Order: sequence, then structure tokens, then C-alpha cells
Amino acid sequence: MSGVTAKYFHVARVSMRARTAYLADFLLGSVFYALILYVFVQLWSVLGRTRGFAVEGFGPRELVWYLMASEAIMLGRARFEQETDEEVKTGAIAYYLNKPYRYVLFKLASYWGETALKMALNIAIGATVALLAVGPIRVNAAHLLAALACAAMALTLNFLISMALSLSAFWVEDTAPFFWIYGKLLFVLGGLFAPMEVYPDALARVARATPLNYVLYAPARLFVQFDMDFFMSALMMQAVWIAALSLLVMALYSMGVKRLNVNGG
Amino acid sequence: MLMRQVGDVRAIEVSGLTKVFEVREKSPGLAGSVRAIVSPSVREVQAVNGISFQVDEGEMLAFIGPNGAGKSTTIKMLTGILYPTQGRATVLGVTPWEDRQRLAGRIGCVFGQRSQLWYHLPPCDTFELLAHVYDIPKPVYCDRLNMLVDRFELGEFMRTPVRKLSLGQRMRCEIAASLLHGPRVLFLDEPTIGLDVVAKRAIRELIRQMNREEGVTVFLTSHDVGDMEELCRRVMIISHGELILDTSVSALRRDYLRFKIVRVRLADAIDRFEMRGVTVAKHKQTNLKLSVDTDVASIDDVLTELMRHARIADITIADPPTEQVIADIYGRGASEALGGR
Repeated sequence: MSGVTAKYFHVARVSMRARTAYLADFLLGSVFYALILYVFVQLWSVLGRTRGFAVEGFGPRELVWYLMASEAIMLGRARFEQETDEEVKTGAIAYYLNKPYRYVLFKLASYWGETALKMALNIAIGATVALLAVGPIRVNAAHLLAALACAAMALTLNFLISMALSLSAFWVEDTAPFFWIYGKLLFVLGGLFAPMEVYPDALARVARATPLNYVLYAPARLFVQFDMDFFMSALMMQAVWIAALSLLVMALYSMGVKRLNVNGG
Repeated sequence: MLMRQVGDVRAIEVSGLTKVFEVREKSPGLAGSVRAIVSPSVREVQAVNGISFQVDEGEMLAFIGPNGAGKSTTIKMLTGILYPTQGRATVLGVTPWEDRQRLAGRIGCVFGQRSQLWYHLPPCDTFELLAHVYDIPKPVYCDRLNMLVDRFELGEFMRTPVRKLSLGQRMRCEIAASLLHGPRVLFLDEPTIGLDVVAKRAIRELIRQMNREEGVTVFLTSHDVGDMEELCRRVMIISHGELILDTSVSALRRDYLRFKIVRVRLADAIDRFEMRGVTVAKHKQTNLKLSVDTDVASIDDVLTELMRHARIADITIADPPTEQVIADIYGRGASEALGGR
């Protein structure tokens, strides 16, 4: 491992260690995830029984497994935005600026340290709940790896969107409303509760034009229904969005740092 | 302004450094909030106003001033955190805000009101991370850590989460963390803020040791005159963003710090207290506040005289606040200017 990679790897490791400092709290967070899954298992089961519900290969069982995957990402992503917002506003960001690392990469490493841990836990809990409730779905190891690669890209994409919103703290007083809207848009355009196949065509088209669709829908759908063409196009679109948002984050950061007003100065 | 002789090797060079902040202002109430969106009102605050100075390698310099004087803003420009509005500065030959990353490996910073330690983890985790961040080879890191743990007496709480440490213990860890990579210049921004007398003394002794043994240049900002008196030979005083004095600590002590504030609570009330070199600033029954000119009367003499009148129940002796020192400097400047006419 090169010196630069090792540096950020250790940031991720320490971040992971910090998040597990209160193991009970950390585990309790996953109870909420299990609860949501349970509620939706009931909902989809009723729907399946009463109407024989199935759209483009998504029956109640697939929908439960889809939700397991999308919620694992939604609740597994580390929430660093409030922390970053505070760091910018209070000037605590100063401590990151005079260290030999890049602030955004430091935050990315820290985000991944926490996210990897939460994701692993969520997948274990989610798979157990889904397995007990609706039984297994067919998925092979190669497809699973492909879906995990897509999920890794999705979580990086989420990081960049969140970082761009957090960095707006250089210009606005409170970034919380942006994150509220982002969360709600992820519900709808990201396809948190159901895949795009269930959506009306017009809404699905709008959703597919946004990066949000590649945060939740793409990896969750690949997990439930793998398709090589979809995998390649999703990966390509994720790469395009990641490149575009990286440029945006770099621009916001470099402009923001120049106008940094550290409290107490 | 008094000027000093400077040596040949400069650690820090600053010329005409200026920082102006733009502060948004808002009138109270809902209408004020709406007006602030439609036509925002921006006020300019001159935090640092064209200061120039040099610091030699291995020097310990105190940068003193009251709250809001521009001390922290200056230190943040010198560490590359803030971009100046005007002026030039180099630290170890590097312009801090242009090459922050290159400079970062050669300087150490401690901001007394902020922490670089991971709050929920023991200090050893932060130290280990910093070793990777600064690319310190493992054997060098181990030797350095052992030395710092030993010298700063960190052994007993190296594995205790930072949140459970006292302020003094945390500050010792902060300074040790900033010295881990062997910096040539150490910026200390209010390192003793909030500490009790014992902890302050310990921190000062450690800083003195690192300067003596490793030749680390120390740039210390504080509003505590005690930090300056005990650590530094040179002092610069900043007020309202301007450098108003650059002199030796001994000259400052001789000219401005010879007064001590003595607060006494007596066991029995006395009518009056008079002594040459002592001004009674406040007297209320058993409580006295005295301003002692130590050139005229020593603290020993004052206490002896006080005890002739009544038994002493409690006593504190303090330096005049920085604000008072600055007021004296301004006052002297004004009277000298008047005298020169």
C-alpha cells in the first residue's frame, strides 16, 4: 500500500473504531432498520395475497429483497453532513486544513470507515429478516459481487452529493433544509421503497435522469434482478456522475476555503 | 513602536499582513430577515492591519493581545488556514496559504479552543493515525512517541478515551500530538486557556523543554501575561489588528508589568491602609484591592504591612490584565508624544 493510500486507509480504520466506541448504540441503530423491513414485509405480503401483485418480475418476494438492499444503503451511509456543516460554520475545519492530507479525501475515508461497518451489519440483519419472512431469492456469487461494486459506487455518489450540500455552509447559514429535501428526493427519485419498474413511466423517466436513481435503485435492482446491460450502463452513469460531482465538490471547496471565516479569529 | 535586533536565520517573515472579514448584518425580527435576503448588509471588519515582523529560528515569541485583537487571525494566516487580504508572509521559506500541504509537515499547531484528538478514542489512536498522516517511519514513530509519553507523562491515560480526560491532560496530549512529527515551528494559540495554575505551569515547562532541547521555534498567542513572562524573551503586543509593541519581555516587565494586583480578604475590618508604592483601588470593610508598584514596594513588604493591621483570611496576587497593559502602553505613547512637543 502506498504512503498516500495507507494514510487514508488509517483514517477509515480510526473512523470505524470511533463509531464502535459505543457498541450498544451502534447496534441499536440497526433495530430501526429491521423494524422498517418487518413493516414492509407485512405490506408487500398483503398486496401479493390480495391481488397477485407482480410487475416486470417484481413480486412480493423480490420487493422485500429489493427493499432490504435499498434500505441497507439508505441507512448504512454515514451521516457526516451535520458534522461538516458545523466544522465549516465554527471554524473547526481549521484543524483539517493544516494537516498533510486533503480535507475532502479525509472525509471520504472517514465516511467509508463508518459506512462499511454499517453496511455489513445492515446486510446481515436485512438478509436474515428477508430470509425468514419471504424465503431466498436466486442470486449467484458473481452477480452479488457486481451488485456490491455498484453499491460501492452508489455510496461514493451519495458522499459527493452530501459533501457538495455540506460545503454550501460556506455561503448559507443552515444546510439542514437541503438535506431534508435530499432525503425526501432519495425516497421518491432514488426508488427507496419500490423499483422504477413499479413507477409510472413519466416519473421513472425523470428519476433516471437524476444521480439519485444510481444511489439506491441501481444497486438494489442489480441485487434482485441482475442484468449485464443494466449493470454496465449503471456503472457508466455512476462514473459520469461521480466525475461531475467530484469537480463540483473541488470547485466548491477551493472557493469556500478562500472565503473561510474562522470564528474566534 | 520599539524595534528589536533580529538574527540571520528567519523562521517567520511577515510584511504588511492584512485581513479584512466581511460580516453580514441583520436587523432584528422577521422584516429584518427578509431585508437581509433582499438587500444584505455587509460590514467590513479589519481583523489584522498591515503587520510586519520576523521571528528567528529557535526563538520563543509571545504574541499578546486582548480578545478580538487579531492574534488568532494572524496565527491562522501563518499556518495557511486563512488567506490574507493583503501582504506577504513566509514560514520556513514557504508561503503558508499557497503551499499549505508542504508546510504542514514542518510545523505543529495547537489551538487551545479546538481539539485534534478523536473525542471517543484514547489518545494513542490519534497518535497512531498522525504517524500515518505525517508518514513517520515506524521505528522513528515509536522512539518519538516513547520520548513524548515519558516527557509529557501521558502513560497513565494513553488508553483512556479523550472525553474522560481533564482539560490539563487533554492539552498535554494536544501538544504532544503536534510535536510527534518533529516540527521546526510550533504555533500555540491560547494553549493554557481554561487551565488551573498547576496545569498551566506544567504546560509551560514542557514547551520550554521542547524549545531548549529541540530548538523548536515557538510562536505563542495568549491573553495571559503569565504565559509570556514565564516562557518568552520577546513579546509582540497586538491591539485592534495593529502591532503596538515589539520588545523584550524584560523591557515590558520593567516598563509595564511592575504593577501587581493584590486582592486581600482580612479576618477583621480595618479603617484605612496606606503605604508608599501602594494604591488602594477598592476597600470594602474586610476586602481590599491594591495596586502595588513593585519597584517601590515588594509584595513581601506589603503583606508584612497588611499583617500588622489584621490577620489575612485570603489573598490572590495577579498580573494586570492585558487590557490594562495595553491601555498603559497607549497612555505612555500619548504622554510621550505630548512630552515631545
